[in-house]
Amino acid sequence: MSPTVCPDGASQGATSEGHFAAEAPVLRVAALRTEFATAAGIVPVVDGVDFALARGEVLGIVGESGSGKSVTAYSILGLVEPPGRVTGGRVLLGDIDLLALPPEALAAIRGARVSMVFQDPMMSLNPVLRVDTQIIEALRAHGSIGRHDAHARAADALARVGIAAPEERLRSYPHELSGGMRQRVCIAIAMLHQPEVIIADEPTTALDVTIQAQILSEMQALCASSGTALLWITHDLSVVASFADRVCVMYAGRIVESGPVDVVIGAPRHPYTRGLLDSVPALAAGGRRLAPIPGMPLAPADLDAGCAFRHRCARASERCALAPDETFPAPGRTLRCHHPLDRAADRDS
Amino acid sequence: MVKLIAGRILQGFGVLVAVSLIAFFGIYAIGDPTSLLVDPQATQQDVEQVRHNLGLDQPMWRQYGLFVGSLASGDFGRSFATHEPAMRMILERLPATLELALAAIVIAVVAGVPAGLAAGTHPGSRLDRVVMTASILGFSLPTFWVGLMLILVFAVNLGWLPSFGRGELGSWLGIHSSLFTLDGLRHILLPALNLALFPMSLVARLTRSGAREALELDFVRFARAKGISERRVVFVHILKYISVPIVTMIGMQLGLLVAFAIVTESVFSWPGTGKLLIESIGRLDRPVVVAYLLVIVSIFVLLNLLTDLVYLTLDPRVRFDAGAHAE
Amino acid sequence: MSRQHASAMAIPAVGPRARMRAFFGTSAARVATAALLILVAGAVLAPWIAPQNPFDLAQLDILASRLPPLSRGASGALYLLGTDDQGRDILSAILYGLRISLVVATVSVSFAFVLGTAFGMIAGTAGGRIDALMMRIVDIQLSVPAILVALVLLALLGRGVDKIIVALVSVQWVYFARTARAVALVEKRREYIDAARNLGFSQARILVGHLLPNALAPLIVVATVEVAHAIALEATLSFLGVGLPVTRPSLGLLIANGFAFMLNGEYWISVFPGVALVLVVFAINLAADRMRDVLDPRRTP
Repeated sequence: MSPTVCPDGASQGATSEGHFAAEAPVLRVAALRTEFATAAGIVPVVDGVDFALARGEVLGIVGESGSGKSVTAYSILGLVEPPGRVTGGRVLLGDIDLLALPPEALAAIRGARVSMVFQDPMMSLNPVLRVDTQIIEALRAHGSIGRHDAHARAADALARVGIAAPEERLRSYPHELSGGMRQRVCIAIAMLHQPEVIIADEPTTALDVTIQAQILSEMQALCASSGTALLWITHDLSVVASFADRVCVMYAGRIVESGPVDVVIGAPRHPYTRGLLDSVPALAAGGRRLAPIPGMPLAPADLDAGCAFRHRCARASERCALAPDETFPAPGRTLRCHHPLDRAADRDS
Repeated sequence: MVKLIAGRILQGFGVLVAVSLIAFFGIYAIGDPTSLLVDPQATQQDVEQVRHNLGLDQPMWRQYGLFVGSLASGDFGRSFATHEPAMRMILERLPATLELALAAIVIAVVAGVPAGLAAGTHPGSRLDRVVMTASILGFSLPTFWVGLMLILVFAVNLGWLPSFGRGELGSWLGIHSSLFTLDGLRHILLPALNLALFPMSLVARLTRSGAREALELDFVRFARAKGISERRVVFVHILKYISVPIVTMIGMQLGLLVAFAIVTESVFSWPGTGKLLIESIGRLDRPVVVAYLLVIVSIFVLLNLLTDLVYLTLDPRVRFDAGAHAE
Repeated sequence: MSRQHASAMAIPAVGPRARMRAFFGTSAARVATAALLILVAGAVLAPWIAPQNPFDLAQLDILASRLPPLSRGASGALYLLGTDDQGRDILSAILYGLRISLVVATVSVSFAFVLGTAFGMIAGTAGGRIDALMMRIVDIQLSVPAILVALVLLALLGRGVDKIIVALVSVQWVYFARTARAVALVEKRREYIDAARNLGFSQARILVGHLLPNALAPLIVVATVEVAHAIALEATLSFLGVGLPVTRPSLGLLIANGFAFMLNGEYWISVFPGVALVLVVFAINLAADRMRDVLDPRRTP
């Protein structure tokens, strides 16, 4: 699978907010902020995240656990549970702000125009309900449909995600299916209404490597055929490298670097992106030693106004105690760093 | 699965044997009931005759053998007071107790589950606190006192409902019960409410904690992400998921309620087994007390078995892997 | 309930004084303690503060029977809470009745405490088969409703103060046994017990000297809850007519006496003793709830 270059690639300019768009994007997230109330006070877990998703595009969001990438996904569809709360920003689907919608109107969009696939297929299907129940309720949630038709569509949906003997599987309980098959059921549910956007929160992490690859390529094909944009959230840069169009690297609730996937991976500017690359065997540029990033990310409660990565960064200076502004080093790229790596230095080292 | 059930049946049988032992040694062997049975003016010879007739002159182990033997043939002895077979007295009263326990458990579920769901899905809310405080009251207030207050308010002051008896019985499918007539329902309402107080608190608490846990699970989030209504998320996804421990608990409670009914039956003069037990204790009517114990314990055992079966049908996972479900 | 105490929970309560302060950190605990103090003081001081001695027939005026609250008798005495069918002042009867209820409950809980704790500690330190067997007994007993056990025992033993205490101890010892065993299991693994054993201490000294201090906090919580249970259970049994003899009218018996009159609308004979009962039981439960929070920092609110 070779990386497909984003159609509006390097030729397009950045918008004033640092977004990247040719035609109007299907989904635009602007200045999103989500906070959690903890014993130590109110902690921002997502802190001013911006990105846009074009029709049919695959955007990867990469970050370590705790970087706020999953919370970003939940925030988009209003699925953040207390003590968490979305406190700012906008999530525009076309020109509707999802954050401003009343619960019923948001429910009408969930699963129909924007749907989601979760990390652990063991847990994302209700263990005590049959597969057909869980598919058909998703069909019924967005339009009335007769029993017979619903059943036929459910079987069809399973067949499309490559499940053999769908009729039989429909009558199964989730625990009777393998992990990969369960995730296929989840994907089938997400695809039911041919949504404009699917948000996939590490959907392959819990699966075997071979099944991972299968599901990746199937999802990519399905989305390409229906023009569905895919927001792929993962901690695994190699997954993103293999099939995303663009990538956003998240650290401590902020996007620290973004851009077309081949450019960001080929020539990272942020020291954190570099560090991530060097810790992935397949991606560490030729001859470079595998090097884990030293230290651990700070707990969200310990963050201050400065660059959150500076405690682990070899290039950090006193300036880093001030938050770096977002810059646009190249068309379609964003960066938040006072001391970015430059291309030449990177290639030589 | 068959093995599991067979094991439970065996275990239940063991409990019954243990209770028969305790009942025998505890109740028959302590003291000599002859003095209660014969005329105080009887001669020594008469007393010996009665002792011989009752088998009391036999060694202890033979007495137990005779006791068990007669149990097996359904003979629990005759009441000292009425000379009726003790078992028949119990069985005659049993329907009244069972209908009361059943009505109470229905009330407990109908009120407790929604209260627990509402509290559990709104953690920390005012509603949550009200439900929790009410359940502490339900646990700590003595049942008989609440029964008295129900009578005082609804029967004496307001005059809405009768305060004693079963009222008119209806019959359906050969079962005679208060539940089948309007008058009977009016009679059962207060005692059932009284008996329901404790299981209601329990059901509400269990439902609340189950719902709180379920809310954190991914399948609830996925269900919401599918765009289905919040009502369906709560009443289908969460409720079905937490129903397994709730049903288990209800099954065990139903057995306990048959015993707890002793108090409620006495307060509301409900002609069930509990009231009979109190009367028999007052009259030192040992055979009836023993028969009561054995019947009640059999009901416990039977209900536990039934609960296991329901558990198996409710949770598809245990059919494959018993004990896999984390409660 | 305990959710409201979350803020007070954050402060770790170590040392008796700090625990005391933490305990009184909530208004529920303060109100419960105050109510309890008043009720207990009333019960203890009954012979001196009660308007009348309800056991002294000479003081009873049969003509003043079933007077509503706030009536005055022929002698001009005020019956604050009314009188019962024998002309007994309800307030005095409550104070004396409370006295009996409290004595019965504390005595039986003390016995249950000692017996249950010893049982649990022996099971916990012995371990293995002995432990399994002992705990099986506890499990079986816990599966049978307390009221049933108590009733059957009273059916055998008859009525009387000593008998009801035996019945209460028989149902309550298991709760102490379970708690004591849990603590013993944890402490057994701790090093200092081994150290003590090496020094040649006898099993009994290890139990009393080392385990007991550690088990004390959770056991006190259990004891508090059980006092409330004992009061409620004794009242229930007495109400059913199988508990205390009529010569010792505890709260349950007072309530039972008034029951018949309640149906005629003469509510006070039953209701006021009932209110006293409910107050005691609920206040103890609230206090126990708070104690649990303060003494057991592991328990999350």
